[in-house]
Amino acid sequence: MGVRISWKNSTPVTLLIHRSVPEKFDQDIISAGQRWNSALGRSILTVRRDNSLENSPGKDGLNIIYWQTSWEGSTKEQARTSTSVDISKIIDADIKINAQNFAYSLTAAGAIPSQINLESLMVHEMGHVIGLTHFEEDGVMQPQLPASKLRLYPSNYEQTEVACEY
Amino acid sequence: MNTKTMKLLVFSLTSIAVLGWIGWSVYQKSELQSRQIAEAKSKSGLNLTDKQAEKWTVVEKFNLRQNNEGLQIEIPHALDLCQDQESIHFVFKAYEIAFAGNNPRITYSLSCQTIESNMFNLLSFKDFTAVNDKNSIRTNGGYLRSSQIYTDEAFPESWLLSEIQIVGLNGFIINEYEIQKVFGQNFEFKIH
Repeated sequence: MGVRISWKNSTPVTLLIHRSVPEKFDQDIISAGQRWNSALGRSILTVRRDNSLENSPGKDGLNIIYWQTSWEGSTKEQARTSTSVDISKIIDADIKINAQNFAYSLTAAGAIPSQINLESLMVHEMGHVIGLTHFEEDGVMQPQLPASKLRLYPSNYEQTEVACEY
Repeated sequence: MNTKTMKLLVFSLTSIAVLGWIGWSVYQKSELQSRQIAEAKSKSGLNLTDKQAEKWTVVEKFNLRQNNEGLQIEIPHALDLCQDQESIHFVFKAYEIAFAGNNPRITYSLSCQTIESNMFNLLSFKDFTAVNDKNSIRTNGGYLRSSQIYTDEAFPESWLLSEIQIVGLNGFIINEYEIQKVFGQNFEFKIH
């Protein structure tokens, strides 16, 4: 793993919650961004809802979180973060959540069997937004998030990797 | 200068202009049909280790050309390379997009068992753009496989040769920075 691409000095990055995302998840998604800010000791991600967005996923200069009830990718894929890159600088990012094949739970609801904790998933995807790849050892960047598992805190290694780049 | 000399001079100048124009047109057309992406630099004067020199030799003989149909991959020393190796892999990377922090990649793999002559393979863009997360493709003596190419995403436009992997007993990997060192630039190409 490691940060190979990053936003360089263009932080904090603003992530917008698309109207397709159920509003009940807003607090957990915002909290996911704050977990990276806490880990770094400064603001690197700002997350807020914008119901006026007419956009669809793609390179449009806006970083948007989409809720996809129709998922054309692998049924095992919980979410997908795409980033547009100019040399090694990230210039655009989108997160798509697979809402067709998975059910999601709120952190406040505790562990619910067969449901994915959305905040944990968002901490992971936001790790991709800031440039992290997957990491097999303990931490939020492990490739698969099992149902009902809480994985909210970036490991020391993950924090160091991000801190090196930012 | 008499009239006859004058006519001869005008005829000569006109001929030169016409021939020059034809030559330039042919040159431009051939450039469009097959674009050599980069040319190797000299390694003389560089303080290279034996392994670095070996890599340099592999890379400098290698060539990649682009035409309207695809990529012409030239390995004029393929048979020599394959004498003590198992396979050769070319890894292409889409450098303007990343999924989960990783750039999409397409690998063109060739087994040394099937290489019977020195290689001048055409890798067609049709095959190149057909490979994705759901399939790999057999093509032109080898096969193509991908990572982070999704059927529900636009196929990436901007690519470069990221690695040449020589797999075998004393196999080695030549990365994009080493390729860049030999050619002074990357092997970049666009697919529209």
